[in-house]
Amino acid sequence: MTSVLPKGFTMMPVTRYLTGFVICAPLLVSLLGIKHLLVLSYDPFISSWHQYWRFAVFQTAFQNESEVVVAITLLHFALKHLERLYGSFRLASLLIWSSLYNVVLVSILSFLVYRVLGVNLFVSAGPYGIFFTLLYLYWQSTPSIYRFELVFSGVPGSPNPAKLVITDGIFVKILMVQLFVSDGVLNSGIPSAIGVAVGALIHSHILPGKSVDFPLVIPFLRRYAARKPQPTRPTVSDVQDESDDERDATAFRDDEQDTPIRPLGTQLLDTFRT
Amino acid sequence: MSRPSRIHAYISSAWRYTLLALQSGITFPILVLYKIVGVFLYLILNRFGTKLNKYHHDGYTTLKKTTPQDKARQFINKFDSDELTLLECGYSQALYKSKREMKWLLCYIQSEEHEDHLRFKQNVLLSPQFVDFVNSHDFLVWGGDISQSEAFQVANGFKVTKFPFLGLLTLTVNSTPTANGVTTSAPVLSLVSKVQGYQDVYKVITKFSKAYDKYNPTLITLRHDHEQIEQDRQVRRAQDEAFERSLNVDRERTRQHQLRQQRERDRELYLKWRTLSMKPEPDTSAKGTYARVAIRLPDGSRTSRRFNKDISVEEIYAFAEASSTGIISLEIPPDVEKPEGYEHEYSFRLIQVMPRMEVSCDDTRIEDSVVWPNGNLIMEEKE
Repeated sequence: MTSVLPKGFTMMPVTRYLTGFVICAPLLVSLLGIKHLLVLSYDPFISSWHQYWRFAVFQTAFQNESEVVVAITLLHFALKHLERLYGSFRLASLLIWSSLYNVVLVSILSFLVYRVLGVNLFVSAGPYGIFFTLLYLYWQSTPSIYRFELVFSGVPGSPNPAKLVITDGIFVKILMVQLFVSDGVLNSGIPSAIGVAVGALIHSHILPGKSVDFPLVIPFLRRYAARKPQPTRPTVSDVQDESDDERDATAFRDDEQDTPIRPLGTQLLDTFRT
Repeated sequence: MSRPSRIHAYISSAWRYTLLALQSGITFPILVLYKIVGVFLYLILNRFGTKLNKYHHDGYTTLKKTTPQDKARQFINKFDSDELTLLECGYSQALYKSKREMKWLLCYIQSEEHEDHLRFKQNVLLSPQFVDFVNSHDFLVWGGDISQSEAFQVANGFKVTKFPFLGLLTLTVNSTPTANGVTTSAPVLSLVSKVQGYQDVYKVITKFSKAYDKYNPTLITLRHDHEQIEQDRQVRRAQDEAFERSLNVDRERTRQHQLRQQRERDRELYLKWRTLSMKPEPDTSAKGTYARVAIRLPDGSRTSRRFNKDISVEEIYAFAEASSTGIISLEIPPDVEKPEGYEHEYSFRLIQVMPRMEVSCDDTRIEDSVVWPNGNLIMEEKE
């Protein structure tokens, strides 16, 4: 009985690839020296130079390593849960949908803001929108396990001590705030807020995303996964599965105290005690 | 020009289509906007509404108290199937039940939004083969949804990486070989087999039957031991009860004996007191104020006394009893008191000889009774 998700990425290929991508893409971008291509600002790239492809690529990689670290931590401690919640294909579909929606909404917003208000938006590079879409969905479907209270006594003028009730989700929330403000409240905040909006729209089934497969890509992936040859003889994975069961049988006990622990020293001594 | 020309038809249909396109082009974005704004408003109001309620301390707050049973009932309603009977309790209670009844526990956790959810439920969980398998092996079944906090914790505890999840739990013993032979630990509940994600129903059943065949002997042994212990306990309880009963009988007997002794003592004391408080015998000179009464006692001896005509017949009874027990001739200390809580009852009758009739023991004055002016009485034991 724990609130910690299982370790590792067993049976979670999409999260695994996403993690790899989030780590490797900035590395590759740095190595190739093309960081400047991911910068998105309406003026002058779009308004004067018409580089519309920047909308398509600005989400590929974070610019700073701290954002990568925070994003990976969020993935590992929270967003991993989404894959077992939805299934791999559904999550992959959701990722593609949400990245598209984010691109569309960011481009519309920056266009409107530039034309109507005359403000030039600078949008941080990196999958902020996708992450906040996922985080929104995560909050919608994750129960809180425990809550604790911080009691501040000695607030002048109030009979009751001030109380702050915090659930176990606070740690994820702190990381979220960190990611939200990582590149300036506006620069990274705007794509993040758009991500939350996309999450809300997907969650309330206004935009297709959760239950609708993304056309072409997801059916192809499904067919590819189904075509993989089924193992007829016990393979490594089967054996692993078995040993997994064995390990579970010995690992999970509802009360650990019942199993006698015999260290090596005791075992040696027991041999001579008769 | 009665018939419209072909060109006219083309133009009119083109016009119609343009109008339609314009109409839908205008209405569609408005519809979408309307929907989006509505949802945002709803979300915002809802969120802030609940927040405001929460901080409004002067009002009352309704606290939803949901017990694990309520949650389980909700889940069963949502699960909505007659084939599998799910336990209507929380997970820990299900564990306790399985442990106490020494039965297998099948643990099902679902994620409603998972792509395999419906497929798994229809093709595996509620398939006749699986239901048969579960019912024939007498498994207890507990189910939960991952959106519930308890099921979430269980899933994390079992390190579930894919849903839907089926886990089979049973009691196992850990045996460790030592120099002094194999020592076995106390039975603990452990997960012996688990199915994650969609699998064919035959595969699932095969997997579970393998685990069942492997661990059921242990469970049977445990159950047998448990029954033995339970039987022993029953026997011991019966013995204890019998002992308790005989002890009670003894105690009752002693109590009765003590009561009787107490009664005897009280009776003697009462008689002494009664004898002491008898009215003095009237003098022979005061003729006409007394009755002369002669009594034959059961042992054959006779005694007689004069009684004042104004006192009750009960005095004769008291005299008769005192005479027959010999108390009348005893030296009685003057400080004898009437024993408290003692009701005296005479165990004999006094009977007038000629004509034969009983002199009842009551408050009748002697002058009004049959012994006036002369009485000749026989003392007879009541039967």
